[in-house]
Amino acid sequence: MGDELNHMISDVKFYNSEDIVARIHFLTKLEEAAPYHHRSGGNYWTRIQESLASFPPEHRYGALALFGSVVYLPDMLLDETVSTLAADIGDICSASNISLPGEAHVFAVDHPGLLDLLYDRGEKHGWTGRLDQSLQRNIRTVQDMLRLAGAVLAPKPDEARVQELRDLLHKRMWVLLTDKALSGGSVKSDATRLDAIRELSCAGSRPAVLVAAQVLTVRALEELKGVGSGEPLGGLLFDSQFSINSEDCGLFRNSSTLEAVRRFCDWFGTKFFGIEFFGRPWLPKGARRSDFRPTVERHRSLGGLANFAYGWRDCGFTIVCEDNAPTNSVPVLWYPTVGMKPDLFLREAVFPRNDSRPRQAASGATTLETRVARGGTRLRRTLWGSS
Amino acid sequence: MKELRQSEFISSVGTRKRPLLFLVAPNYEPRSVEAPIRLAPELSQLGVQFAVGVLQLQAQAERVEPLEDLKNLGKTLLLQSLHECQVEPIMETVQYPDGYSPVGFQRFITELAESTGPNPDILLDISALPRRILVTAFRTVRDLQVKGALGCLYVAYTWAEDYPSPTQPFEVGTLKAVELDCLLSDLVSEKGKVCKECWALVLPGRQGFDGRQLVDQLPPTRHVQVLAFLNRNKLLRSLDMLRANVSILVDRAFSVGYYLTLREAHSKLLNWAATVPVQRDTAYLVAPFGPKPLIFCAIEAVDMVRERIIEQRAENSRADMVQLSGHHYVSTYSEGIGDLSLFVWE
Repeated sequence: MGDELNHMISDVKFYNSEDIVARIHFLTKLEEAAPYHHRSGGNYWTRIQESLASFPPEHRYGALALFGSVVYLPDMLLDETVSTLAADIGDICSASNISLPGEAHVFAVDHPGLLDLLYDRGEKHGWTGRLDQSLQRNIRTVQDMLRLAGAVLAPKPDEARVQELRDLLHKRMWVLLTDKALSGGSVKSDATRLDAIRELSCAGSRPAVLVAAQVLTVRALEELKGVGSGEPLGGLLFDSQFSINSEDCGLFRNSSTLEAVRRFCDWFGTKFFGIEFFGRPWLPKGARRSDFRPTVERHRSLGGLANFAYGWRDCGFTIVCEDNAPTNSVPVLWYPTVGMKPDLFLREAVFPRNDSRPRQAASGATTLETRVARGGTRLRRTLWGSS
Repeated sequence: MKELRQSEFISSVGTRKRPLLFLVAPNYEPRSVEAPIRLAPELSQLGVQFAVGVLQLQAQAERVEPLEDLKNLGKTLLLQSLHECQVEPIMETVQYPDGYSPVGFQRFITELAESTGPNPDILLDISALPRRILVTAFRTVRDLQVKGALGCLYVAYTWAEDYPSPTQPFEVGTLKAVELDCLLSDLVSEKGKVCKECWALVLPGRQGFDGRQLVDQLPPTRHVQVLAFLNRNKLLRSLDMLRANVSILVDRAFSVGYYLTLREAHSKLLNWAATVPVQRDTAYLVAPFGPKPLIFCAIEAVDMVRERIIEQRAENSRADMVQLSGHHYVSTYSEGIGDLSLFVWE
């Protein structure tokens, strides 16, 4: 460890001004009890030390404060949010005399496994009605729903599938369940798709749509305004205090620390996502991370900062879930730079991200959606006998 | 325990058409008078017949003068507000903490309930009531309900906007078994009344040291469950609480869980009480260091374990709540006025 680094990590005043010891000790212990799924290397503090050593001295204070501000969410805690959502959904349905689970249908965004957990927790919160098991087994995601509508659009549709779609349209409540709504984009896309299918209902019996997220941010709440039939439900609600990119950021005690963290994120973003750098062939053979360019380019096309300093849609969160780090959190937490050109700083991220999750857009949802939208009149005729 | 929105509470009180006894205790925290200031005009407008009992807690030995002045300020605000609603409050001074008499307090509630009208409902504003007094209040209300002298129990709790950091305790209190009225160390020591073994449910609080202090005093054969609160409306503050309790939250010897709403905590407490193995020579402890409304849930959990101890004739076993006693503040304890939560105990 270099002298400069030694000097910094013995800077007691800085440690105390931001409560660094308690924060990092807490995160180290929490992560020991519930290890990050894709971590490589030692415990959190060891990874931080390795990481700090690779950053220029002027950014190490900002880096250390940033690492101390991580909001780490263990699976056990996230599972608990499902209980809370089950109770909240129960309250809303009870107020409208909707019997659960029979008169509702739950669609998952990305994680169909969440449905089983929700039904399990729902039972403990008085969801006493009968579950339409086969329907819920067959139609677990919005993608399944689109496929079903696609099947009903076939020249000679299977009557059982037509009936399935009718049954779904007869439900009084559709719940769109997601693990994380951080910028709200994925949920909004799925909710819009559901809305299009909802249009097929008979007038006067349209299901209400309720969005429920284990982790919800105010940013997503803004994005989801007007989507669904009421305010989205959140198990954990992160307000703008949790965003480094917000004037309300409350993650640090001192404004000078926040400025240092922002400078650090900017430096990192410009270094690794800057336009001049992105233009060069920078992915050497054997690089361990996936090519992140399409994501960053899409982020830019949506008006995001060119250097991607605060992550997807400039959200600027420091949230890390046990199973993965979201792209809405600042990239310096999850973007590995191992295998990059030698003149750059070589390091593994403290929470390296796994990009394995397939996005629905990439797997044909958009095509199906277009087909369903175009075939609306035919679908209505098949379902209800007239347009 | 069911949480009500303010409109639901008002509508519930209106529908029941019973007189309402409203007990409040102004202290030096601004939040201590928020519930009556917000609710009294609405109740008055609705035509609910209600009486307001104002408890003035008075320390004898150790008065902290600046806090006394703040307390008087709160009381003045409250009285002005009640005056505007044309409500004449009934004032009662309660000696606390020194000289506190549960019997006297019990008598006050009983007499006030009788004078409010036939079989009234009661609304307890617990925002500023010390936990020890809450135990007496809950027990008294339950007794009166059993006798048919009281109807529904409503609870109001105004959350703090924030807490000063760090609070300066005048003295660090000792842990006591509240109703057995003995030091925790006496209860669980070799020389003590029971306890080769202990089952404890800890709801960590903001200060952190109390949870650690508790588990460190337990006998070697201990089974500790820790339930930590993440207030989903105040996550940043909740993270401070988690950090303050890190040593018990990450101790692999303990079973650790979380709750995001008080309703869930209530259900987990009762579940613990219903499933904890009851056996002889064992102490069962519930330590509600977390949000105040959980005191009542803790009492219910303790009662449930006590019933099981009696049913199963588990000799020499005891169940009680553990609280920090003798903890005296020389700060305003909390800052600002947060959300108002209302509950009905069914």
